[in-house]
Amino acid sequence: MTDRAKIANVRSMLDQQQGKSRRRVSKGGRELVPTGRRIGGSTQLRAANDSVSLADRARAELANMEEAKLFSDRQLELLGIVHPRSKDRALVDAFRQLRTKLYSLREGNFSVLVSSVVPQGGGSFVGLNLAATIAFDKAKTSLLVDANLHDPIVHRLQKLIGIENGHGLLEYLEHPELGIEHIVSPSGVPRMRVIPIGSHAEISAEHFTSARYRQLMEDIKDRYDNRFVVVDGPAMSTTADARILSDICDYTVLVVPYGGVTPGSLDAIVDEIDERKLAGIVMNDQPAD
Amino acid sequence: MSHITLDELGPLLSREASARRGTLLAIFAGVSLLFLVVAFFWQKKYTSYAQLSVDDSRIVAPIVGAETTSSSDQANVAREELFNNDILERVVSEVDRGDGPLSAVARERLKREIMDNTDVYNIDNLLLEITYWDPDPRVAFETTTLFADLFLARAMKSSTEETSDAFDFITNQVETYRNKLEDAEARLESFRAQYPGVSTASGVLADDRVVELQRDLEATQLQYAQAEQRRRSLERELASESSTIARDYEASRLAGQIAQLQAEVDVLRLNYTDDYPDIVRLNQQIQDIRDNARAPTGGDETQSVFTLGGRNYSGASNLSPVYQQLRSELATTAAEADALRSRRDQLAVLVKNEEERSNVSSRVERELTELTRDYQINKELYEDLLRRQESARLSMTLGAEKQGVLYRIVEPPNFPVLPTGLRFMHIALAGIVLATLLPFVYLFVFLKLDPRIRTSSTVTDVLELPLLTVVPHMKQPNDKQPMFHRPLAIMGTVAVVCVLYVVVFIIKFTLEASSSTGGIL
Repeated sequence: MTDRAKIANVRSMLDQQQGKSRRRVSKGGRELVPTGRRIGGSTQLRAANDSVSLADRARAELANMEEAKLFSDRQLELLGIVHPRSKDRALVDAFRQLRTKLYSLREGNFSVLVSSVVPQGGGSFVGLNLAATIAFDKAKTSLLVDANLHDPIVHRLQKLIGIENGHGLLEYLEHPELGIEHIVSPSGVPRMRVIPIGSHAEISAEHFTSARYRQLMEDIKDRYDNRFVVVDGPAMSTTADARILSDICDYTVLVVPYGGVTPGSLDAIVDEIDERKLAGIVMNDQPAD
Repeated sequence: MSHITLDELGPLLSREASARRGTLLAIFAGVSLLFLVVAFFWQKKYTSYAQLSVDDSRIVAPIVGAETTSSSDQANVAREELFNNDILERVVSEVDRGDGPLSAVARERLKREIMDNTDVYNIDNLLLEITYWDPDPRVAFETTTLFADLFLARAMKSSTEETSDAFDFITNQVETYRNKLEDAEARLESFRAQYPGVSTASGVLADDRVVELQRDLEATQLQYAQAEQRRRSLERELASESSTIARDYEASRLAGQIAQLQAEVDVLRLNYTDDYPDIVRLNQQIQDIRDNARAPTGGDETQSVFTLGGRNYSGASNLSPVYQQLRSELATTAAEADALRSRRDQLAVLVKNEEERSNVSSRVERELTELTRDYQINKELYEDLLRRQESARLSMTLGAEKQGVLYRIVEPPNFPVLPTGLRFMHIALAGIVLATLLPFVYLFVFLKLDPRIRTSSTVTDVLELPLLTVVPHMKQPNDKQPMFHRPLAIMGTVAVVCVLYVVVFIIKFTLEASSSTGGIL
């Protein structure tokens, strides 16, 4: 399930919860249905309808979260975000393994770009969950920077916890008067902060080559020793953004969707990245045995 | 080709199988149902066969004395004869297939089908097997029987024709050769009349005689030369002997007479005086002899003259024995030489005659040999043909009485009770097996051919990149599985396929039990 679909799931639940009309729900559901990924999508509406009882329960929980700005375990599962109490041990262990391997690369905190090799490869999913997994540890915090101009997701998470019309990364880069504190916001996951993409007048990769962006990355990493920065980048095969972002981050993690990329194309993309910055490959969405 | 290590294969297959349950299920259902349909409509084959023994020693072979047909293509020849339109027509019209009168097109189609279903094999050049299969055992049996009978009848007919043709041919040939032989005989006879006493051996005899005569001639010539030589030397000897030896001999004889007379005188003187009459007479005699000796020898009248070998010998020489002996030898030798010369001349004439005769006879002889040879060959051929004609006559008679058959039924057509070849059971079983195996074959081939990265070894071994982790698919509480991914749907489909198999099996069994043909599925 894609991140968009998952968010749409939760969104539709929330819509119901707020007593909006069924018709509007279905419309909203459809609008948010992504095109062309495996499960979900067409069954989205039914899924929402089927989980009325679930939604009822979530409604009460969300009322609490409004104040605490935290998602419940159930909501996290619906959103596709791992949490330490998850029953899906394999998934949680996979992300823990990823996290541990990244820790082993250097002492102290770091910034890492997580980018898929091809579009819809699950780059945002891995980035989001990596940030969430780092935040399992009560001694560490994580900051997820949404730099995916083509398919941003963080602002939708924010909407779900009631933060709307906040500033984002692009505004920060365009307006020097904005400070970092204006764009860093809670995520609904404990010890995890996010920087959404923000509203953008024009989509341009030039933002990421600016000195201000470089400065921002240094600042957010250096402000707290225990803060790990995860940048959600666009797919490598489509734009040059990811490569520019890779230059500024300490490490790059490439997400390869299971059965979606040939060795040749992966090799070609790896060749374009600085070898020292390539932390490694994550194979995503391997079907269950 | 994607990189799959051995220990990755199992989990990979199970992962992909579960991810592609729908496709695999579709393949399983499709293949099994397809085989079920094919099995249901599959026609059983009932094969009936007849074996004919082939008498390879055809009648024509002994007649002509050579192999006429190689038996290797006997099956082809038999097939040609079997698929003759007459035979096919009879088979079509006489075997009841229970579909009533047929249109011309249907008949043609049926003929083609019969041809397709019929096979003719040649087993070790000894047996000819005709097999025919049909969904109906009765039809198979009847068709094979008819085929065997018609084929036999046809073979018999054609062999009779063959024999009588051959007989006619031989008879013609016999006639021709008899004419030739008579001609040769007549020529030989006229030739013999022209040259009586000539035989093929006379030439050899003539040659022998010439050689003998020549040898004789040479010997005679040698002897003659020898005799001549001896004659010449004797003459020489005689010539010298005639003058000297003869005179000495005369003187010594006279001296001897004188000495004898003197001795008598001496004896008488012992007793008597010189004037004793006897003494006086004896002295007188001595004186006479002396006078005689002293007298000139020119008195030719006293000497006889004889001629020998063209020479004259004085008579006085007669007195010498040596001379006389020489003379007699000479005479003998001369006679001998003369005889030899005349013999030589005679022999030369004989040789010449003999040679002439030999020349003539060799020419005649050649001609005779030619004529004889011609006659001999014609005679042999004629006799051979006569023999063949007799055997052909015998064969023909045998054929007419159906005694010397070419083909003989060794094994009459059988009524097939059990079907041969593929049957419902086989196909249905194959269907189940294939339907079970094919999805996995498909899966394996697909995974092997699809180059996309599915295994961690591709990343670590082939691309040599660090693999941080493998994130499994995240199960969502409200994930909806496609209908055919649900275990129930899968079980249901497999169950439906099994039930279909059972149902079709029962239907087929019932159908067969009710039909007259029967048979084991």
